[in-house]
Amino acid sequence: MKFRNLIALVITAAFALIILQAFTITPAAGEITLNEFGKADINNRTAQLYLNKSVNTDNKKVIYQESKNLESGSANIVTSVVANYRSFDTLGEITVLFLAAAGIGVVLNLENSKKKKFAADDSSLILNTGIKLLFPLLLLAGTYIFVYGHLSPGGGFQGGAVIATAFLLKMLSDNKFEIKEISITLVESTAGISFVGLGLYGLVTRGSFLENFMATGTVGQLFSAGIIPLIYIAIAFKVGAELTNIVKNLIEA
Amino acid sequence: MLNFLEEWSFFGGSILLIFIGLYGVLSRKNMIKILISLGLMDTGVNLLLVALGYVEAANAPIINSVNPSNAAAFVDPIPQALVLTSIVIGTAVLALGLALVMKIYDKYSTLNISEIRGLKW
Amino acid sequence: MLTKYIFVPAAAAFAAYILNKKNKKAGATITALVSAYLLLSLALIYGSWELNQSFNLSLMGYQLEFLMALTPLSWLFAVLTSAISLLIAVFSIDSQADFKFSSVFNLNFLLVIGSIMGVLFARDFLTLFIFWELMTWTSFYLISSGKKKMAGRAAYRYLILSAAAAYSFLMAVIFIFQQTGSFAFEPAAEFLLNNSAPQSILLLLAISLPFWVKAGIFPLHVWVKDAHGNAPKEFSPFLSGMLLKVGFYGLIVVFHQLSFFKIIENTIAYRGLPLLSYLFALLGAVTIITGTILAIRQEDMKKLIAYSSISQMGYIIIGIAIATPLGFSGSMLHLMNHLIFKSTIFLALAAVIYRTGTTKMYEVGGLIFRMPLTFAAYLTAIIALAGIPPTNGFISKWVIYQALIEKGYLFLALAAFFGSIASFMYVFKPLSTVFLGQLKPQHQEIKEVPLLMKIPMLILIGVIVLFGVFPGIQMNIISQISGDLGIETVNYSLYSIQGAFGAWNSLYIFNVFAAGFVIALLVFGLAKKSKLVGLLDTYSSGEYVTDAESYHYAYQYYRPFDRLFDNLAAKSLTGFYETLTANLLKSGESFRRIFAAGRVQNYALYSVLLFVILAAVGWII
Repeated sequence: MKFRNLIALVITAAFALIILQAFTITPAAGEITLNEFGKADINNRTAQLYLNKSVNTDNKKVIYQESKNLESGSANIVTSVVANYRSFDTLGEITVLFLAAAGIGVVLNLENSKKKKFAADDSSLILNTGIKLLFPLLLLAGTYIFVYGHLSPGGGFQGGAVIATAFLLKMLSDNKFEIKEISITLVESTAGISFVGLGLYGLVTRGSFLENFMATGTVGQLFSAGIIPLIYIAIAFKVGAELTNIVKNLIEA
Repeated sequence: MLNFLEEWSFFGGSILLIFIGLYGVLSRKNMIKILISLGLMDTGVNLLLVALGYVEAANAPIINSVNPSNAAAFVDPIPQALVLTSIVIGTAVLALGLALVMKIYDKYSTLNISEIRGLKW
Repeated sequence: MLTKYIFVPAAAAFAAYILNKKNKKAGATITALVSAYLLLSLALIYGSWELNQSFNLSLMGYQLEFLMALTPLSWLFAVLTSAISLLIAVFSIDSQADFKFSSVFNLNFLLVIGSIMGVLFARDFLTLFIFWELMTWTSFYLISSGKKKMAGRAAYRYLILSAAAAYSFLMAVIFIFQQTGSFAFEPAAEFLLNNSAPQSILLLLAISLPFWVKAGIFPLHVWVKDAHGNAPKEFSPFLSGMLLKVGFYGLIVVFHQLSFFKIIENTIAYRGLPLLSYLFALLGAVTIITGTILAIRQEDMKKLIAYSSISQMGYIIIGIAIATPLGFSGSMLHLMNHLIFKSTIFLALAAVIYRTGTTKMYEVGGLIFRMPLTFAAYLTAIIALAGIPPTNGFISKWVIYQALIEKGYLFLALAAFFGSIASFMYVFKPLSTVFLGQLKPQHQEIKEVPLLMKIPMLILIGVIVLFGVFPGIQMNIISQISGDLGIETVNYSLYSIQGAFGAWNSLYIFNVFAAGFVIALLVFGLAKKSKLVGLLDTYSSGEYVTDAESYHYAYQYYRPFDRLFDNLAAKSLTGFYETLTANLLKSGESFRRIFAAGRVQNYALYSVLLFVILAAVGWII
């Protein structure tokens, strides 16, 4: 073992020990405590408000397919947090993703002296045929995931990632397959603008950015939850386009 | 014993994962391995966050035909939402790191980080 | 309303900037008008010393109080500032055309005036600091806008010294604020008096550091030469005349209003003077000698006068440090007089530079035939600088000598005499080389400067002689200042001052000198005229002269004298600072090599190590 590795090990171990001893501290009265595993006290957490959909109103009971016009109409509570209660965070998050994609574009397209171009072989028949079959199915699955994001597990990020995977597979299998840069940019910017546009419309009509300005409908139905599905569709297109762009850049470099 | 394992495999395990990642970042020479270690740290953090919101024998926080009302026991949705964000950002960081590694390999023709001495002023 | 003295120039600054884009003369005109307005309104509030103003501001849980008040001291400095800026602005109206950053110059000039007013009227440390920094920064931009390549570097040196000193000021002030809960001067003075003496002295020294820097006293004088030499020619008079003096304003505030002298009153003394005060006076003496010796060696006229400024600052600090009634009055007199004659000199040189475009003395000559008024202004000013009656410079130096001899400070008096005599050597050099001698062929067509440049010089000539004959005008305000600061006043009348060993009556002397002048004029008129010879009529043993300039008699004018001090000048303080910087950089470099050798992973290791240490400290605490 080299000297540096030893030092790294010692430092890491010291760090870990110091962090782990925090679990043994018995908190004084009134201090926030760390729950034991599996015993999280949901009733005393912010989560309770989200579960009851009662941050601003005082709705208590939410019943599947019955409750109407709730504060946030999404059956998937995580979605209601990501795309409604904390959708401003999500806007920041897709900005980070956009910045990373832009950064990769810049880094990989820098002038370099010894550019090697790989002449890739044609991929095998099995991969080719399988992906021809899978490609529409993957697109469909991705679409399902983000359209039903407010009803079932999933959402814009996951759906977008599945769609990007479909394009990745397509690029792997088919050497001649090429997406135009301009179409990716177009999809991405349209999606981004519509996200911000939805937020601004809420700002104008309801007085705060990204406020839900549509009727939330009945919990559990496809056409419900106000702007959450719209935001998720915008996110899905944006994430899909960005990830596809990243993959495209990495493959082409 | 099983109870202990269960408890520690999530809290202690995820912390262990974080520190394994940290050790990897500090000690590995191969840049791809360093990026893998970063990914490990990322996973550890995500696991820890989700574990903090876990409730025994509770369901995923989705109101559907199985759990028709919010009276049912749900796990905490907020760490899950946070982890969703964290995963996306982790992906972005990894992708950017890989792009940089590609570029560095183009320039120096090596993945060994100690042979790359450009970062001095 | 004291704030108007700050905000009128500040507002006018932006107006001047915008209007100057349209017309190059607008900016300087506005500066002149604003200065005239300030001068007029200052004249109107003369005597109303109870004038004050305060603002309250609540910031992050602190109650901050901004205090301003009028004292005789600040009134005097404010009048000097606005008067000199009026003259300079009038002078610079015509010279703006060959100025690259004319608009920015006027913007910054007005801002400097406004911030100096803020410094002068401030009665609490916070206001003082804010305006002090504003003044430093705006004057930094002014110096760096000079035409020469060195200007940026010189300004940078000035800024570094000022900034370092300003931090020490801030640290001491915050320490006092922690103890008293107020930024105002009075509670601070009270706290410092009751505190333990060594700590108070240390705090006050830290507070006074920016003022020492600004005043250009010996170990900190290194910025003065380059800043003065490279500043725009219109700003040099203000820089030398006023900005250096603001440092003395601060020193007087620290010494008297913050009761520095009271604190050191009972420490070890030398001939009745506390040792620290004597040290300050000694610094002044060293400043006089260094400034003088270095001035004599210069070939660049602006740098020469810059070194002369340094040496004259020595006189002022000696008088302030010994703090006897005579010493203080002499300092204040010299402060005013130096402002007057030094700005005259710089304006005359600016006129020369305006017409010839060079600052090297051996490149010009014989300008007396083309620019007689400029010559007259320069001559009068150097007579004053060398301390020859019947000019104002004599009186102030005379009072300072009286104060030194009265107490018997031998070395200080020696330095003062040396500076006075040698000062005639260095000011005579530009006189004989720039104005006397023979006209260069390329300067045959030069004309006298335009009317607007003549007026300020004429006014200054008049003021030099006026104060030389009637020092009572100046003593009037000085006695009020002394009264305000609790120093005994000197007996004076309109044209006489009572010294330690007798009185000086300037009226008699003026009459004697006037008679002498008339006789000399008669002799000059009746005697044989001098004969003109060719410029390059140099004896060279038949050898062909290729570089005529090195044979010009102005080149290395005082070489035999300089040779005496060659060893001393080689060990210049600037060189010392530069070696110090180089060594510091070298040791820093070798230290860096250990830690930052370019291994990327080490950097990651260091940051993790930092986290570990922080976590460990958090755990232990």
